[in-house]
Amino acid sequence: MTQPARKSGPLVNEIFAQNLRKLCTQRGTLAAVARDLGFTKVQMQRYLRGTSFPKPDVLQQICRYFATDARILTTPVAQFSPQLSSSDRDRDDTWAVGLVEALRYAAPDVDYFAPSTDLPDGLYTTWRRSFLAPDFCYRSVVLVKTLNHGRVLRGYEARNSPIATAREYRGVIYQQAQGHIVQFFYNDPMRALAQAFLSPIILGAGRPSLQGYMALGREEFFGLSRISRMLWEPIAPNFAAAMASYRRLGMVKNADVPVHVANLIMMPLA
Amino acid sequence: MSVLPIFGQNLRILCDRRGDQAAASLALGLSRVQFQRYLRGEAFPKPHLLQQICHYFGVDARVLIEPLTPLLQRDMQQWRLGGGQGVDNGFIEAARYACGDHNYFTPSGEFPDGHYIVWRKSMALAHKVTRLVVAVKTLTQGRVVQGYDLAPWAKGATVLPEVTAAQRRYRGMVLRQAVGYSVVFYHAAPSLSISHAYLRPAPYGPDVTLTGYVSLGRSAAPGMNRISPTVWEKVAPGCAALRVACRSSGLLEERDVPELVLNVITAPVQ
Repeated sequence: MTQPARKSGPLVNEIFAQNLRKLCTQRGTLAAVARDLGFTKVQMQRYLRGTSFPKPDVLQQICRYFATDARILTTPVAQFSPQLSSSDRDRDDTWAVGLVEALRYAAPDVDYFAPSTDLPDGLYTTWRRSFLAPDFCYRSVVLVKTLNHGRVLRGYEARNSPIATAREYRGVIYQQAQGHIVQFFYNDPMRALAQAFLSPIILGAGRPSLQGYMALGREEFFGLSRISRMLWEPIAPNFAAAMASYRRLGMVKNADVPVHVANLIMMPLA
Repeated sequence: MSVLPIFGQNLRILCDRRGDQAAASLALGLSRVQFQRYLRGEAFPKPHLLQQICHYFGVDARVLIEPLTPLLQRDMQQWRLGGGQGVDNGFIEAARYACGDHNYFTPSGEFPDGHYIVWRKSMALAHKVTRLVVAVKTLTQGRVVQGYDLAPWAKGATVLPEVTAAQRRYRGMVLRQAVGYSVVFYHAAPSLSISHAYLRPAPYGPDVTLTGYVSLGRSAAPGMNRISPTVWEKVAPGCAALRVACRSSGLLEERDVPELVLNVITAPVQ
């Protein structure tokens, strides 16, 4: 018990200093932080050299100042997400334990959320065939964003959508060795998943888009489809373009779908 | 209210739970006097000692300044289950963002833990059928699945002999929807691809059977499928039945597949 302690002790004792330096430079300057927290220059230097550690009352002050928690004493800040403990503390659900252990078991120990050049954060128009009516396509808008590390999306349903039970849906975006997987979660009362595979494609207009297919986790109903080809086109990053896209959400008659979209999403799927 | 007594109070609770104070101080290599000073809030461990104490009690550094509420304990458990890695936090925050507080692991009798024979069309060879065995189990709450792609020695397999069992292994999680289940498979490197199966209980025979379809996260390729219907049949409990099921895995001719299964997996997926 004491042998590994001697070996790892000094290493662990350097973590707080490294964390403090990182948090200070993210925030501004060392001097400004020392002034805000009321530390003398000497005291600050001792923290940053790893020769002194704050007592709980000072630690609490530091944690509040940087919106983090006491793990900064023993764990590099990149390895924990303070949001998980502060904003979620008032919730009493326990489902996340199940989700974390299942992901830990199921997923290989790799980073699925590296920044992406072909699916960058931003707004996209998404096209697919309607799952309800063969004469229609369905047009939606999704916002892709990166949280602290995980990549997610929020999608918007048309106000007059006949099946949508909620105005929005959400999802997780994974980077595979080739292409991306989008996992859609349609929450209660539908409580269903869908998955889309997307890979980059350059269309005639020259804008980098993504194409692939979507499979809906739903039982088979006569005459209704669950699978469709899909096209994602980035929306120009300005307010007018975004508003124009929002206004055109929902079902579109096949005949009214732009030709370059129709050619792609109407192709048979194998 | 002072934050200084919190650590001592937490330590007392943790000692009572784990055994007694004498056993804890002995295991941690701390003198009785020093341990008493921690308990009374008169002294605080340096990070390397704090880490050892946390490790011993299965908690993290937050016990230094936060009272040991059930919610903190849940968060600490989650973080530890996640391995305390940044990558897992990407998962947690992304999954949390996507599913809100909807619980996808509520128990049901429709899809019990155990081994299943999985049938689907071969994704590579026309008129062939893949038959595999997978195991479904429940961790603390999360439900997961594990299986192996066909071994080089399996009936009809076209696998190269140098492919190892670890490379053939795939795992996934089983999410309960309002109707049926979504199984998300995370395939290992190099593909890191993610595939999806939708399953719902099927009213065949006395045994548990689920039918649905599977979709792979990869690009279209000539002559290759990405989508196939699938049948999951529960294997009767006991080693003998499982051994027979495993030995029967392979790439089969359609004529060697039971008619009921063949009818399902050769139907078009809609």
